[in-house]
Amino acid sequence: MTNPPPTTGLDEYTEQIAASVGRDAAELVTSVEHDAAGEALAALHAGYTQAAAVGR
Amino acid sequence: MSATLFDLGMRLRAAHEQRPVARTHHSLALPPNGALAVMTAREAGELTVSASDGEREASHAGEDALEALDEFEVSVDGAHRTLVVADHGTLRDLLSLALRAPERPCAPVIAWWDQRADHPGSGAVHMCIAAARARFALGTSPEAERDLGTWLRWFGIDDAGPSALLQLARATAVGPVLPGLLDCAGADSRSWDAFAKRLRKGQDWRRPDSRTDAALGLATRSDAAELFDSLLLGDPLAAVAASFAGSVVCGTVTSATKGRFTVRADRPVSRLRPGARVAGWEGEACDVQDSETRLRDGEIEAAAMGTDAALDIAVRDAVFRPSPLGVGDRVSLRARPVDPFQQQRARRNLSQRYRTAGNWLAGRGTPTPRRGNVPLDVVLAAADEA
Repeated sequence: MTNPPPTTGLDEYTEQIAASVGRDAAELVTSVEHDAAGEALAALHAGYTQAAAVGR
Repeated sequence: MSATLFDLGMRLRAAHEQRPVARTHHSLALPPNGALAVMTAREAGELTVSASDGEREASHAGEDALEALDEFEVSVDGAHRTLVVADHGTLRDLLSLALRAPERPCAPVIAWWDQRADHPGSGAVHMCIAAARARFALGTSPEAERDLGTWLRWFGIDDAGPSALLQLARATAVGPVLPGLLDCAGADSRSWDAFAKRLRKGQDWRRPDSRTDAALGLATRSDAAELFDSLLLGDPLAAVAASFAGSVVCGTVTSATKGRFTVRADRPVSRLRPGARVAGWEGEACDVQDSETRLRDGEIEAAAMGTDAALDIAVRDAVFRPSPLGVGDRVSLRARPVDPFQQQRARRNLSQRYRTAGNWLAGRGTPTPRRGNVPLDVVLAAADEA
C-alpha cells in the first residue's frame, strides 16, 4: 500500500466510547498502548494485543 | 461495555499498523472459486448490471440488464455457483429485475440466491462487506466499515468494477476454513438440487411459499444462524472476543466433586443461564482448539453473584474426556455446540407434523375451540388492541 488507509471516523468513535466510560479519549488510547489497568481497559488492551498477535 | 472496548482495541491496532487486523483465525467463508461477482448501478431510474468471473466482464442496462448474467450462462441447469455482491442492495436490485423478466434463465437462480442469502454460513451468496466485517477490523469507525470503498482502500484494491468484489472476497477468505463450514456448503447443494427439481417439474419460481414451506423455511434460516454462531465459538480469536461478551466464560475451578464443579468467573459477565447445557475446555478462551481436557456436556445448575461482585457458576452432570478438572484448574465454558444432524432431525419431525391432516396451522381444518386460562397480560394486551 503506498498511501496509508484512511482512519475515517475513528477519532470521533474513540471519543464517544471514552465519554461513555468517563475517560478522556487521548488518555484512553495512551493507556491501552502502555498496558492499562482496570477491568474496562483490560478489554480494550486485550482487543489491541489480540490484533497484534494475529499480525505476527 | 467490555465487548465494545475490545472492539475498539482492535480498531486502534489496525490504525496504528495501517492494515486490517483479523477478528478470527479461521476464514468464515469458502474461497469464491468459480464465483460470479455482480454490481448494480442506478442512473436516471435505469439499472445497469455488471458481472465478472475474474476473466471477463459483461455490462448491460435497462430492460436487458440481466443479459449480463445470461452471458455467463447462469441458469438452474448444472451446478450452482457463488454470487459475490457488495451487500443486500445488489440482491434486491437483481430480484426486482428478475420479477420483471421471469422468463430469463437466470431469473430463478436469482430467487434461489435471495433465499440462501438469509442462511448464515451459506456459500451461495458472498456479501463482501458483511463477510469482511466479520473477519477483519479496520482502523475506522463502524459506520465507515459499511462502505465498500473503505474496504477496497484498506486492502489496496484499485479496481472499481465487479472484479474488485472478487479480489476482496478472496482477500477476506484467506486462511484455514472454519471447522464445520463445509457442512453448510452441503446444505447449499441439497437446497439447490431440491429447487432445480421443483422447477423441472414445472413449478413457477415466483409462486409464493405454502404455509408449511414458509414455516420450514423459517426453521432452516433460524437453524443456520444458530449453527453458524455455534461454529464461530470454535475459533480461538472469536472465543476471546466472546469472553468479553459473556458467550464464553473463563474462570478457575473452586470446587469439584464427581459430576459437579463450580467456577469463579474472571469477569461478572455470562450469558449461560441456569438450565443451559454447556461444554468447555481446560485453559483460556484462546485454547479452544489446543486443549485436550474437554467438558463434553454439563448443565448450569446455578449462576450467582456474591457480595464481592464475583460470579460463581455451578455445573452439574458434567462429563469430561479424558480426565476431570480439579480445584485450581483454569476452564472456559460455552453453550453446548449445536449438532447439525440433530437440527435436521428436528426439521424432519416439524415437517411431518405440518403435513399431518387436520393441522390448522398449515391451513388444514379449523382449530377446535376449548376453554383455558389466559394470562392477565394477554387479556390486557387484547383489550388494548380492541
